Amino acid sequence: MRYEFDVRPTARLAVLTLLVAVLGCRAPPVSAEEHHHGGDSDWLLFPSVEAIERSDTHEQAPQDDFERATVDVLFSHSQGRFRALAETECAIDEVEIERLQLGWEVGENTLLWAGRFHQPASAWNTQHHHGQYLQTAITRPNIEHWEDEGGLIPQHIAGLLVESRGSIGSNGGLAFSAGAGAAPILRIGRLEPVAVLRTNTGGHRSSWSGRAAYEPDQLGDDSFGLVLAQHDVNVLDPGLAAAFGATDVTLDVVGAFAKMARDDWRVQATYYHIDAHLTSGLRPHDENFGAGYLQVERSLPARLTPFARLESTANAARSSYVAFQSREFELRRALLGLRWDFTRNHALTLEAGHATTLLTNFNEVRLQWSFVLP
Amino acid sequence: MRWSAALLCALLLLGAAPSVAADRSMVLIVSADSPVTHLDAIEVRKLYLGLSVIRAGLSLRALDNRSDDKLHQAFLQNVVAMPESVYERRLLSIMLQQGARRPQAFETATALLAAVAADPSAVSVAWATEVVQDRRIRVLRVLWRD
Repeated sequence: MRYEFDVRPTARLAVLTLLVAVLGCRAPPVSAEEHHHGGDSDWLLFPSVEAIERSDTHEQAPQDDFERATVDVLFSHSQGRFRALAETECAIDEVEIERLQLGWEVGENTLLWAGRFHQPASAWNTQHHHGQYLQTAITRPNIEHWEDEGGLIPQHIAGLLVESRGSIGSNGGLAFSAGAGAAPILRIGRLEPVAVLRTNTGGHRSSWSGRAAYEPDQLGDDSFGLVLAQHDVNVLDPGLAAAFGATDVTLDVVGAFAKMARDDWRVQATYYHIDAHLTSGLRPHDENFGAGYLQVERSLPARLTPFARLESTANAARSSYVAFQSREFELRRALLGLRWDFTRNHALTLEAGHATTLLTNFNEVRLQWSFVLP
Repeated sequence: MRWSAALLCALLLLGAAPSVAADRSMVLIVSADSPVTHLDAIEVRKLYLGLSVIRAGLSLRALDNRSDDKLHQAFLQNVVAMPESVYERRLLSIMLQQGARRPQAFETATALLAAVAADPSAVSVAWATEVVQDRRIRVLRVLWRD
């Protein structure tokens, strides 16, 4: 459910920042005998406060300088083979249930979920979800953006998800995930997934997505894999449909990813190829574009982690789907950053980047404090 | 006579102390009522990384023994094979990804052993000397020897 708060933005930010600071400074009560986590129910909070400053070369650059405070709340419950998971993101102006899943352990290595989940064909989001503290960089790659950030690929699906893993060789592993359900609709210029509590307008069509990964050490960090997805997006915005010349967009996604950790180095590389089939009674047409990124991180003494990321696209500037769906989609971005884990479970991150969108280019600097509780 | 007896006791203690220290072993334990008879190293690691291991229809639960710093260090090196900061981050990730439960942590051996004894699905580690005479607890195997 989305709540609109009738408070001035500055006051809201101050209140949320204060709340985040209080959460960060005051540890939860823990008995001398045992920690109250890890039982049948468990919860985590991922608060973060972020300031962004942009210097643009054109007026069409994205939103001006701003500050943002969010708290991602994760709750899980296990009872025998039953599992429940809820992830809620609280920002200054909205509260949104991002994931709500009920699961059953079919076997030792297989979980069947029903509910709203993150589609498994995203290499980044299935790893970090909304937990800001667990991703080294402040920003996520543009092609991995959530729907409400102008993301091009549907990320929240309502339906069924199965996750399974098995052994291969003496130490390796294979991990599979597949999801099927209702895709977002395209309305008022952005993708709208099925909401958990808010009233849905309907018109959602089918989505399926899958991921297969090879893990050289099945309990390690490295993985190499392929993703496949097809999302049938209903264009419910009449103005957009008229301008777009399409009442339906089918997105076929195929991608590959690699994630490696060697000594103090960590590398993640991902590439997606997207075929967009725009259909209408008048002039259906097909187009395609690609998007990828490479992020490199290095752990240094004093808990410092410098990182760099390059994002690039192919043919995206010529795609009418990209142009109509997200004018702020970035064709290219280069960034450098430094994360400092200054104490246990707390990090300060500085990130500077240069981005080129369909309309303009701009520089930005971000500073973020993120942490996890308890 | 009294001095010689005291000297003998001191010598015995001096002689016994190194052998106790040398025999200090970290063992894998379950409840005496547990159906679990064997867990290999990768299964124990899976459990402590929040992944599922099922035996006799029971979804096993790892309990984190934080009663002794040396035991915890031995656990990090020999069971999960990663530094504490990396281990904590992996647990957060697996909970975020799959809603997996993190191992419940206990600060005293008494509380930990009581929890293991009461739950046939519980698995933990302990010093062998702490459980050798505890009839409520069964040792599955030695994980590490000092």
